[in-house]
Amino acid sequence: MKKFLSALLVIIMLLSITACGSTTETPAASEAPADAGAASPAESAEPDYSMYEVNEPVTITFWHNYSNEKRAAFLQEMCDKFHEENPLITVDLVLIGGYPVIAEQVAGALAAGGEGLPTLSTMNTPRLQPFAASEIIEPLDPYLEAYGLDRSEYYEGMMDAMTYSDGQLYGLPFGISAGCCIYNKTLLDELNLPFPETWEEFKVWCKDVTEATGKPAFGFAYDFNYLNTFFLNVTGIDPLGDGTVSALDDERVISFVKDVRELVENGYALYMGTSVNGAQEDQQAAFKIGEIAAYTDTSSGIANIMKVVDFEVGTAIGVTGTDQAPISTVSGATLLVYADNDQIEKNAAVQFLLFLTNAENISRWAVDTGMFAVRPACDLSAMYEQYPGAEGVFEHADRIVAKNPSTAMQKCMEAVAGVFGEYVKGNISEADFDAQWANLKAEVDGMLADAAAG
Amino acid sequence: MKALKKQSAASAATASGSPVRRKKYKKENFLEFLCVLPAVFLVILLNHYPLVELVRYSFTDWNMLKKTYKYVGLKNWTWFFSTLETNHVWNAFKVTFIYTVLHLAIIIVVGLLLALLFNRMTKSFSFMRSVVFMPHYIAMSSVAVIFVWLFNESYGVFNYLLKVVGLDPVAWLSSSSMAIFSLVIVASWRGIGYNMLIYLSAMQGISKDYYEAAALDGANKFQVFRDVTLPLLSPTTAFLLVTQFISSMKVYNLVDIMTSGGPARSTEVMVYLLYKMTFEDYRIDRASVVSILFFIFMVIITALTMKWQDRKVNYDA
Repeated sequence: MKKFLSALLVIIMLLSITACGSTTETPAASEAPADAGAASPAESAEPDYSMYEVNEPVTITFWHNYSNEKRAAFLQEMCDKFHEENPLITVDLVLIGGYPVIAEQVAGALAAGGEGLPTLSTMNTPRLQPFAASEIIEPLDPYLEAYGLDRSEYYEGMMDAMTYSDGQLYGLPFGISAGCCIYNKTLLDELNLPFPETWEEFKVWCKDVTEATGKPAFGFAYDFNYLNTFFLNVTGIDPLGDGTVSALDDERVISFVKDVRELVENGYALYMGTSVNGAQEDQQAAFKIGEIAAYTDTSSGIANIMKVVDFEVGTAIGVTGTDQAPISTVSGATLLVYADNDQIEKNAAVQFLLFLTNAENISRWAVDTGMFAVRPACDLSAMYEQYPGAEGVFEHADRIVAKNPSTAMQKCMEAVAGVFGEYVKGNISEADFDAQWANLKAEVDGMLADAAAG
Repeated sequence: MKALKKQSAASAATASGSPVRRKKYKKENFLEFLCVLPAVFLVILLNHYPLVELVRYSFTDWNMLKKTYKYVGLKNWTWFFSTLETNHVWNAFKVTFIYTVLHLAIIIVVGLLLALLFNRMTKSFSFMRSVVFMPHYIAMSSVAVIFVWLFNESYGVFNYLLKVVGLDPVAWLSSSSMAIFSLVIVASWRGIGYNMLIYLSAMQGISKDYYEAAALDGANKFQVFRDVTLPLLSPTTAFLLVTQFISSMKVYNLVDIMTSGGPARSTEVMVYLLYKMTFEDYRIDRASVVSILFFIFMVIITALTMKWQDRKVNYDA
């Protein structure tokens, strides 16, 4: 019996190897819809816009990540309103979970041959690059052309973040946020120490605030996104360079790292959290009870913090170490349409996206949720009335730029944040810093090269 | 073990009886085989087949998103032995191993000691047993969320208590040298009750004759524990070592919620790293290589434990 079972097992294993070994396609490829290979309008000599019409009833599935009641209610209202205006299109709104859960479900659906894949979804912007590289999301330029919409109707930096290296647009900005600085305006007015604009002023300001209050002035976060914004503004260069070789050995980068250590060592600033997940709660709690005068956060946290503090709050994109105005990088959600759907479904999905991001609706979304308005034409006066002080960030949506285009950006900045955090907190000695930083550069360069090689 | 051998020898003798008996025996055997066949099929389908697929992925460039993939020979395997990035894998392996050893040591030793303490069938001890076991009812994710706040460096309960008694606060989760111990504390707090319960039930199964004989020989309590209880609990210890070793090596939830592998990868365990490689970097091809090596390591350790169990474990209880 044992021999029989062993033989059976071996046969099954061999069959599975040989059956799968002869193909280079996942089930998804063999079951791909016939229209998936159809020529895109961009390739046609004369664009045929009729293929972008929706002329029969269609239901599209929209996966999203907004568990927040207000945000989910807004989306449902938009779906209903869109259906009223476009009776042929029904949007089935499905809350899946956070971005990682949506990404897992999408990967699972693709591995299962595309069965169960949504028509469109929200997704965190860094995932747009690998999705576009794998051709699982639809390039949107032909649709914008067909529906008579110009890219310039959205903020340029945000659209750059939605663009893959082939120059095509693969997503529309929607729940966009960016790293920024939030400060206790009441306290700073009392101390007559306004929030600084330059890095040199910032270092002096931290010292002055600490001397006046006896508490650390600023809360840095163990978060590579916020850290990246500081690097960009203070040093004027991207620590990951052009995305193939990092600039971590640049003197300006090293000088910034040492400055932050000095601030933390002297008790003028805190370096908070354990990882990307751990910093925000600590910072907000410390800010709320007056343990720090200012901190770095995501812009989507501005509305929330303003609701819970009993003092006036001010905001700024950041502080600069160059003669350039401070910038920040695109985070938050993009809207993606999945390529493995029928053409009519994709048409309906893009029409819905354009409706969702039109000036009127996106203004309301921004006011309701504290996200960036993605079009210059948006009216945010209601937001500034509701959240006075928020204009320090939201007025400057034109200064929100795309992150480093390398697909390894996130991984590399996580590695940088790790060593940076250990050094700043004094867990790496001055004597060991050079060697550790050189190792980090070698590691990051390796990851960038690996990503570039695909 | 001997009893089992005797039983199977008896069965063999029955089978080698008259031709009618032998035929009946074969028929029964075949029917039994048919009964377990669906289960075997499911195990092969859900356990062994994915393993074979994993081996196959390690020779491709598939990323879970692409519809097509190419066979790339040993490229992913050579990657493992040729890049600086592999440092992360070794680091994750080291972190996982440290976590597992500490966790196992605490839950086995403390579980055993608590079992000895609570091995009395009174109502009050029964209540205390329930209290110790209770954390096991709470989902690991809930435990993790609660402890994130308890461990908070600035506002957490633990540091508040330390401050009350005049001690310096501890960077429970934000220090790269402390974070792994904090995770072990949480996992052990939740796991000790289970081990205690298993040990308790094993203690109930030890014949009182042994203790009476030891008492007649004048053994003190420590000698009874060392020479009677401990050896007779060795099958239970072996069982707990194997099962808890495997489960500890696969820790994920706790890390995901409490530290996300930080600070500076000091709590990045193997399964968390594999998740990131697969669903964040979209490198299931490389993750397959790491998974296979991790699997081989687990098999070797489990086999060694089983071998030790065969030699050292006492089944006389």
